[in-house]
Amino acid sequence: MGQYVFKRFLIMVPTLFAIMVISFFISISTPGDPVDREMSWTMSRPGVVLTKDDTDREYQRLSHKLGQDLPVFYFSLASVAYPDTLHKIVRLNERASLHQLIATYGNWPEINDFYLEITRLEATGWKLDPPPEIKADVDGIKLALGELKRSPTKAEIMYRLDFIDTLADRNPGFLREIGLGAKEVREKFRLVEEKATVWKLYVPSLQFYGWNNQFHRWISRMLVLDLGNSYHDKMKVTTKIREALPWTFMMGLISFTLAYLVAIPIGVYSVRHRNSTQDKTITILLFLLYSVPSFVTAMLLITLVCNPEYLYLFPTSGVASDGAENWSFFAKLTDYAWHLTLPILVYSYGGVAFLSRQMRAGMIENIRLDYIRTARAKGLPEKVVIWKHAFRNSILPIVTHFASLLPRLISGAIITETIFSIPGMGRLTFIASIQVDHPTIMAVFTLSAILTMLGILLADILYAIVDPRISYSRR
Amino acid sequence: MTTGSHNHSTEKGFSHTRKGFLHTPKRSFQPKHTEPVKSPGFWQNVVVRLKKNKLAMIALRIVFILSLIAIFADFIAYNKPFYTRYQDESYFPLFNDYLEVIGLYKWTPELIHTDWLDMERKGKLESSFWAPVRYLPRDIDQENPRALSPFAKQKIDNWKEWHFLGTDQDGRDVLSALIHGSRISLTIGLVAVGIAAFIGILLGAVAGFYGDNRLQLSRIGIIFLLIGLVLGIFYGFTVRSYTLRAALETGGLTAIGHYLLSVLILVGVTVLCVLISRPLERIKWFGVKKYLWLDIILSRIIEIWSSIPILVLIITIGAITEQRSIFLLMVLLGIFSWPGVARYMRGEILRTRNQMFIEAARSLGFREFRIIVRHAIPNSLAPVLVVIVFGIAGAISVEAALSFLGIGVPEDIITWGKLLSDARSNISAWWLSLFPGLAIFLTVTTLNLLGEGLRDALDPKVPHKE
Repeated sequence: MGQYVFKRFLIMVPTLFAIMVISFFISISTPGDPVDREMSWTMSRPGVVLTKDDTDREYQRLSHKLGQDLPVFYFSLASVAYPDTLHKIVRLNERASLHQLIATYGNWPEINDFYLEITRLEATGWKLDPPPEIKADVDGIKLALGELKRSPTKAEIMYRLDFIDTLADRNPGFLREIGLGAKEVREKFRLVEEKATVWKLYVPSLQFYGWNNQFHRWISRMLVLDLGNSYHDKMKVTTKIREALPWTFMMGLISFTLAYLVAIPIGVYSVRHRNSTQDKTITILLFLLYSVPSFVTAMLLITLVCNPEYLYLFPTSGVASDGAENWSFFAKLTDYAWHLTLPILVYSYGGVAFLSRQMRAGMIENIRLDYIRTARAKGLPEKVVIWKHAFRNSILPIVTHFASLLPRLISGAIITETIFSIPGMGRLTFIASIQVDHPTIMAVFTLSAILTMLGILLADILYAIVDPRISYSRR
Repeated sequence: MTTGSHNHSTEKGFSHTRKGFLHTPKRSFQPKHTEPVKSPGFWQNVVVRLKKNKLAMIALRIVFILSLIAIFADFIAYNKPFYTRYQDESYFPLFNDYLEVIGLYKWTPELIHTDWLDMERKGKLESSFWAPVRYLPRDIDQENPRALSPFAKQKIDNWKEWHFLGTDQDGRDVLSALIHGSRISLTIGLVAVGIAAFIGILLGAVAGFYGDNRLQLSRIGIIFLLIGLVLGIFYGFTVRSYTLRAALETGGLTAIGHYLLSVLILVGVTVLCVLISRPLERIKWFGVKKYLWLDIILSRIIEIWSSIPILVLIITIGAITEQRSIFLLMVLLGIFSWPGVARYMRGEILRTRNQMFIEAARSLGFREFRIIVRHAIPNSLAPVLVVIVFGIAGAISVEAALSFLGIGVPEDIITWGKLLSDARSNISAWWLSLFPGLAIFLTVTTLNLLGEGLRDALDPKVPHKE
């Protein structure tokens, strides 16, 4: 047994790793530049005007700090057309457009020349000190040059170059240098097109980057529970989770207890009166309950009993009334109960239905077995047969369902907590997803994957403990 | 000789060869109407058992009706008449819209933005024949621009324009939204589960059929297989990454085609690499055969995949992608729900693969591939069908949950879940939550009922009351 559990834990390691990889790749495919996001935090102090050089330097610093200038993973599978140093291009959006250019033309040296030429021209543009009457034109050129670096297609590049040309032609004296530079850029792009080596795109190359990469950094931080700061309010993700977890945990605990307390008697009752009208009604009702998505029930309940116009029995949202902090303990407790009745109801009825059905099915299976017939044959009353023999043998498998309910509760929490505004993990996930708050989402995602995995593991172990017929050790 | 005549009718097939046994060969061709009594086949039994299950049959009918509603949604609720006469000319506006989509018709500029319902109300149409519901989900009824209960007084002239299930806060018809919403729900359910079933059946079958000690490859073959996989991923996915990304945004059948092509390239390249390795097997060390642990590997993948919390994942991806699309949602639901199918398929194939007919097929010298595709998979599909039906129900309810939360489904597409979430801002409008709620409930429940019915019907052990 111990060996089995150990083996299962060992197997969890690669599973966890795979989930982390998935989670990481989702997080890096987020649109938007994390460095820009970070910069908007550090540099949004009022009254500070930064030059381009300062911005660039700050960008570089943050990019280095966040590890954005590192390769993404331990290795990469790309074509030989890509240089192995593309991740060193500092700006993320420029990196993306260069990537797409390579995917079209496949000749990095020429594309690199083209890119460097634009950079040179941009530097020239920023050095200009234009007289006020043509300042607007120069600003236009600066902007267009910035955009030129982010243009991944020929049409866009040509459009920007034409734009720069028109502006330069308007002031042939002052912007002569720019006009010449633009011509040079055009020439470089012509070379890119002319010397296109598309075949290179079809030659694979596997590159290894070693330990110093973004994924390695990220996963090492995750392992020491440094989940980063929320993009939204800069709070530590761990703090956020620590605040949210108790609510979900409490809801889960209450609803589990409730589910077992309700489901087991229902199941036993159903079996004792099997094939009677009551049993059939219960079976159908449970089936219907089992099929109704929880948010549908929630909405119907809210319309029914939280409705100021017809029947106002429960509040629609929140966990406590306004000003409840100063109430006495008992008043507080009642207030919580009043607020949480509906959410817990919605949260747990699925579990009740599931468990009762399992209970009934399990007991009916048991009742057909020989030992029950023996018990009956020796004249035991039906009550004793059911409770002492069948029930005991059916209850344990139900206990193990505890584990398979875990994942259900995680996803259930998202919906229930969102509808009833309970500040738990589910709502945290939902709000983080709306705010595109990546560190939080990733943390929650990984956490719930781990919980799901633990749930499955727990289920298997419990099964093994409960049912001696299942043997996991080597025979 | 009564037994003889009995033989005669049941063993018709042998009558040519056994002419001597039957004295009058001519008679042997006569009784064509007495076909040999075949024992009912597996599926016939299932159908018989399913038919005895009243609830399942009702469910089957409801599913059927729902599909009809989804397919013919435009003919049940549309804002243009089937037929009308306007200014002494006959029009078939609804059909014209269809023709316009395939490019066979073009609306004249003055009619292209016509509000036909408005014309009808103003009495400009001489005669017209309408669909039962005269609104499209997004049409705002200018006369009733607020939330109206089905029983409230509605400002209409003709009872046929009644909002049978009320309107939402902008005066949009709820019934029409429900009818058209059924399309989204059922399509998502079918496509998502279709993808899941395709992947799940294939991988489950391979894992179950070959197990850990059935498929042998030489050492060089294994090396080339790994190389082939890497190359296949490169040519199938890395090279085509921009195409695939664009396909994801456009969606539709072509997108599925692009992804299928990628998978085909992956498989093709891998197989090619293994084939190339064949000649090298003559070298002694390379030629040593090793078992491929397909089952262990695939089971592990299934396990990893199924411990991914789907809802959280889709919410995550929904938050990332700038452009929401129904197609993306379907694909995501599909590629993250196949482990269930695969697990069942694997178990089922494990049971089938040791049966006699597989042995027979093998002894006839059929190739393994043919045995899997033609014999093993079809004979193991039945229980998987149950998982598939439950899967459709699950996918529909996940989609409803997501659009209820406002994630994943584009803003301009009206779904049941979205209707329900609109009800949140107006909780006294009971019809806004009741009817979409009922629609979701009905669909999910009937599909679950059907699944249960199928499961019982497929399992001969379950006793059936006569």
